[in-house]
Amino acid sequence: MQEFIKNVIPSEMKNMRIEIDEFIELYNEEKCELVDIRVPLETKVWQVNFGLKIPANELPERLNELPKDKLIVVACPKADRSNMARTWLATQGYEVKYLSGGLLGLMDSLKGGMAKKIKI
Amino acid sequence: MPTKTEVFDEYLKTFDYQERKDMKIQLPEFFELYAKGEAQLIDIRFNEEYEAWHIGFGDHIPLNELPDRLSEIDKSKMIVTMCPHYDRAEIARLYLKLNGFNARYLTNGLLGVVEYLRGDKAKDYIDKIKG
Repeated sequence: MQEFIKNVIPSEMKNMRIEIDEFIELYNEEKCELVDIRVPLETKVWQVNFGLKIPANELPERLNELPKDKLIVVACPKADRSNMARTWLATQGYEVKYLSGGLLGLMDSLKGGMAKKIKI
Repeated sequence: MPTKTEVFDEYLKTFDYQERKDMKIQLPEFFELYAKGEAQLIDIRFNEEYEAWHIGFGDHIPLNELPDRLSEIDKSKMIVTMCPHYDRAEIARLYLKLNGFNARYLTNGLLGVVEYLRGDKAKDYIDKIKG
């Protein structure tokens, strides 16, 4: 974590997060996996019908569910908890980014006919 | 002594609804605590960003200098981290939290502060904190 923090420099910032359009592109090419890290009560209210659902606090026990050969994209409603989970996964050696704009941004960009943009 | 990774593992495993709330602070609550001298505000942006513009109160410690400058942080206060929005502020908050500080990130960010403190509000607040 200490090293991690010291390496946060301006040119590295964009490597921490992924924009929604780029995420959709990579997801369609099967080059990334989405991980919804919301808590169970939140996922009960509304679900994303693709990607994995692993609450942030269960990540340490469920690491084996994450594909090793894809970019991991973590997401929460906005971007605070996903950023935290990204930091943790990065310390575990994963290639990982958090979804800029969050799940709310993703749902917003998949409105109406745009929903067809993502290959499920 | 648990290793840093173990501390982080433990923090993540115990992350619950309460912590989800406790990790952040909203502007009105922050302004009040800061005016009472109970909070330390840290702008964690890069030096170039700070040079371009900054607000007239609080401290500046770039995120990547935090590990070497922990001695400048007051353990007796609530530490409020801030960046333009809140992504980097959250990283700083997490780092400080894992190092034993009582830290929160400012949800509205610097942009929220300057949006809020306009005109009379700026005058009133600066008068208040300068006593």
